[in-house]
Amino acid sequence: MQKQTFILIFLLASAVLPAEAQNQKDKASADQMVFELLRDAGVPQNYYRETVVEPDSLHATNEKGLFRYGAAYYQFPGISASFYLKRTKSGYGLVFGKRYPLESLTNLLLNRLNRAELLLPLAHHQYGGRVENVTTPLQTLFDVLARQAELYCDVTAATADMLKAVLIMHFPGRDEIHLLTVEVPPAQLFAPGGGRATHADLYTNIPQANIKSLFNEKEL
Amino acid sequence: MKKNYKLFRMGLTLIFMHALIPRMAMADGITFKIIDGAASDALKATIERNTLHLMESLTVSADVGAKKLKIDKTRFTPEAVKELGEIWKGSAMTCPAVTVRTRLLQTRGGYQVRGIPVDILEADKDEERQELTVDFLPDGRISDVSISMDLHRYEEIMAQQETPLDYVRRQIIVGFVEDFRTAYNRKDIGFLQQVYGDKALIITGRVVKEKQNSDQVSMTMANNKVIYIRQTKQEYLTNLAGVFKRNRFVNVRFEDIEVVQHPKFDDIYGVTLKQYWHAGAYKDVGYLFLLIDFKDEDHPLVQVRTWQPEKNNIGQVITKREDVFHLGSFKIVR
Repeated sequence: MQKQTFILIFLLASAVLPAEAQNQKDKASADQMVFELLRDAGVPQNYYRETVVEPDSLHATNEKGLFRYGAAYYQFPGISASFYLKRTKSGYGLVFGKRYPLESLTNLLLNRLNRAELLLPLAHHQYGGRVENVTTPLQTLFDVLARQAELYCDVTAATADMLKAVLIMHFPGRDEIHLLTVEVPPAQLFAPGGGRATHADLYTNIPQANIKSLFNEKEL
Repeated sequence: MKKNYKLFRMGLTLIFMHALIPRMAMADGITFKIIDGAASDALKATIERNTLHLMESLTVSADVGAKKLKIDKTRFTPEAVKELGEIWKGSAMTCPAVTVRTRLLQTRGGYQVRGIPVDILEADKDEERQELTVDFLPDGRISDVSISMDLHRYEEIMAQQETPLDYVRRQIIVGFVEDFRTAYNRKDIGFLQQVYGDKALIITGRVVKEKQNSDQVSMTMANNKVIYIRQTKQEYLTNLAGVFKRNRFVNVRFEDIEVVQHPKFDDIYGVTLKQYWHAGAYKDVGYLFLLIDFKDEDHPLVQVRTWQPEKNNIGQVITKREDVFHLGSFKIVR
């Protein structure tokens, strides 16, 4: 009898409560979960995206032997999934070196390199204007947050002293993004054993499905 | 046995030096002088010798087509040797026969020299000439070598990219709007108290049925008129708190979000969206316009909130999207 009453109450509750309240996490709890994942992560697995080179996807750059690979982008061509390869004697290799800071940062943020030891002093902007800080290797972010995500990157500034970039982690299934901005001096990007970014901001669980336009035509 | 080995090594070193001497002649014409910045004459001499050795070694190794760069490793830290090896893997390079006269710059970990010209053999003709930056430990050993960034090249790359400058901010606004929606669903009056500016203008449209023979001007069809009620932040939030209290759940959904930047004030944005409101037995659909002030990026403020019903109670459209309040509807005084 008690069981039947419970079932009845449950069915009634199901009928009146919106889906979000029943089982989906809202932004507040989803943001909190992201923070806990980052804060409680142990040593990250060395997870990175395999690169298989198909010649048709190579795009020449201004420099001989240096190629941009792929053409996918997110919303604007500058926010791109393209990464950089250099021709070697045996084929193509991922670019990471002091001569190519922009290309190296792009390859690092797109999770192409087999080590992402760069340390991020992260300010995680959560629901309600709450900001919590955690320092974590970029590798942890890939490992615990971005495995299911499509990654897109835009290096927005490159000077001798500082590189600035934005990384979009897009989750096509739920059509949401996490957005990471990073500032890192070139010297830290290439520091042996992994340097430290100056600053990083993380915004999480930003819905995309309900956006009609981020820019109207007159603004572009 | 140990002595013999030492002699053998000395012999090898002499043979290597002998092989290198005539090659070094090919690097003739390269000179390197520090004009200022060294703490002592001895340090100045060490850095000059080590830098000249680097410049000559690059040229000689490139001339003989060496797969590995040949250097005297005692003049470098192991990290610098590794770094040079990586650079060399990318391309061989030579130093032109020039006299470099430069200042020694002090850094946190020692010293630095910038602007040593090199020609990258693998690069295109117009990109061939680059500059090296060399770091030194306080004892004068080379601790790092890097090719200076070609900033001009990056300026071109970034100019070609078609990402609007405030893209990130607009995504942050979408995130903020989601926070704002979540606050209604959570009945989080505290957060709403925080995000509405103290002088926020809150306008809510309401459909009023006109009398058949009224001589008042009807704004819309079917004798429906929309009247606009203006509330202060406190009035609005007090009423809202009552709604929250009376209803076990509130479910607000946003669709068709549009973000527009104010043409004059870069940190003011207008957000228009369609709102689906469901609280208890009550439901409505309308257009919401928010004027958001991002002057303090970490604490954006809603300075204007307007709501206009989309349809009347018999399903006739009384507000079209183009009739919704927008940035131009309000005069901003700062």
